[in-house]
Amino acid sequence: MAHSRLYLSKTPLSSESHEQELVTSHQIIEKEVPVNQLQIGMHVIRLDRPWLETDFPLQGFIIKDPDQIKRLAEQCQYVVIQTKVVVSKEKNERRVTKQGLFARLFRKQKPAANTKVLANYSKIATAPPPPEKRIIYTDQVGTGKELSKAKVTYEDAKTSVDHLMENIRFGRSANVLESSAAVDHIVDSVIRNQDALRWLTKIKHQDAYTAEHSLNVCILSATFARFLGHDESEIRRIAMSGLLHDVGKSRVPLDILNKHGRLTAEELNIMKEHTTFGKDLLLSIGQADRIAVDVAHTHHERLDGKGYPRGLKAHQIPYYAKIVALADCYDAITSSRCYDGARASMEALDIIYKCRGVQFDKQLAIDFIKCIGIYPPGAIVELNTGEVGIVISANAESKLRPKVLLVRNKDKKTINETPIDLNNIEFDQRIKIARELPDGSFGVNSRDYLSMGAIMDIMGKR
Amino acid sequence: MTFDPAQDKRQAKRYLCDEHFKQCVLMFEDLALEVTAIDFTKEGMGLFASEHIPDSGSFKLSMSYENPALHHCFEDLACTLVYCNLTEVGSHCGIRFEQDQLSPENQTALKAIEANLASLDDPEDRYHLFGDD
Repeated sequence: MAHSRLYLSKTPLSSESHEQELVTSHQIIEKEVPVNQLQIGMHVIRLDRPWLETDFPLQGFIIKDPDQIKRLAEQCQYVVIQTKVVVSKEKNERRVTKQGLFARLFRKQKPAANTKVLANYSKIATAPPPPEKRIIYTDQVGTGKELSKAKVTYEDAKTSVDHLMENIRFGRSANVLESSAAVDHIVDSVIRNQDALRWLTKIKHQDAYTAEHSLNVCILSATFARFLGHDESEIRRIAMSGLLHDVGKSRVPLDILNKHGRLTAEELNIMKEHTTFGKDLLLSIGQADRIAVDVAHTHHERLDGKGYPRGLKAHQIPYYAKIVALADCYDAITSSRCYDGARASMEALDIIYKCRGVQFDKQLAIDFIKCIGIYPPGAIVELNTGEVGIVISANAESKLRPKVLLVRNKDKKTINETPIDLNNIEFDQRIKIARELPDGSFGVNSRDYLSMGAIMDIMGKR
Repeated sequence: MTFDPAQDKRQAKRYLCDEHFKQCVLMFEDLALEVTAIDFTKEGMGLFASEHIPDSGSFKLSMSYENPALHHCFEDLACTLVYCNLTEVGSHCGIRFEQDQLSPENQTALKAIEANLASLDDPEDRYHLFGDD
């Protein structure tokens, strides 16, 4: 807030002429304005209804054109604007109202806090950082070393999500902020090493889909945000939005959520209400970042306007929701449901690729495929020799020739686990991956090898 | 194309559909559903829909494939549902063309499309994104 001191001549109160000191300051005030009185340049901070019930993607904006006034008039009776007013007080008056150090501190902090809130919201990303501002992360530790820590992080976070969902389902008080510690640990791990937690997203348990899915979307969103070059605070915000994106499912009846068998159209429609439930829940709890509320509400919106719950247009979908939507789709397709098995990573990437520009943001979809890679850690692959293995980790310099743990021979018989590096120039370069297989093909589950410790043993030696 | 969930869900290679697949519509008894063509062989396809795909054993598919060299329009191809994965993100399904109900012309056309997609396929870089790798 700007403060300035002015010395002005005032009409004397007494016959004795004297100069009196005035202090002027700018105060920010809020004012209700009927929509027919709105003007370009006004800073709208609230509506007469929740933002989420309107088609305005940003919660607070400065009116820049008549179209925005028209849209406000179509959807509201009045809005609240924020404006500056100049307040002048005589210096003596200020002294009379002075209330001590803490009061002064409070008075000074309050506007500062407001300024900070506004500044934070003005920093909300609407696109990936431009190349010159992009942060390029490199792994600080190897995957093997990080994996043991990541397993603990994953289990702790899963417990935290389970508690949150259960508390909401049973009407107990839910503390969203508890999950932020879990998110911090996840983001720390993703920044140290991009593959370790991603490995764990491949380990799916059919009976724990909702909690694991929320966690996996959190991990994949954080990994994608790191790939896009966002700074750490942005990555944490995106990760938190990913973790909470499906919180509304705690209001979906369990017999639908855990149904063994295909959902009917009616049941799927009830399931789709999780977006609105999620928004209402997070708003009622009142602890979540507004971005997370928006993402919970809009992560199933589509660029072509055929998404739900509101059928928003492309420009109305928040950037963070576009990121989480990709992670959500990838994990949903590659997860086992009660009624169907998981699909291979490639099938999920095929869908994302084919639906780019229609369902998903075109450039973000391409970036997401690049981020995941054709053969992600944990993928089951068949070599052109007929042997079957599990991808251990990608080679940064050649994404198509990762390190693989061979577990089946060309006749698909079990063999002792043998690690190979397809990018090793001493290795026969004619040997390469022929295709990716769904988890479980030829009896190979990446989960089994991780729990047996074979993967960690191999990676620990790296 | 063989599907065996216990072993390998997909023995035959499926080619990524290109942009020349147009107007893909599944027709059920009382419902026409617009779908996106995802992957393809002459024996079946992977499809994705934003809507719920009904649990129906058989249905018809209409679509066209048009590029400078090929121009095929299919109407009422008899199909069966091999799998359907319903998610909140959309419905992903695999369908099989009923070979015994295909006309010779349609069989030839499906083979021609598969051959064309195979010629475009780069097994090491399915989306042509890693050319500098």
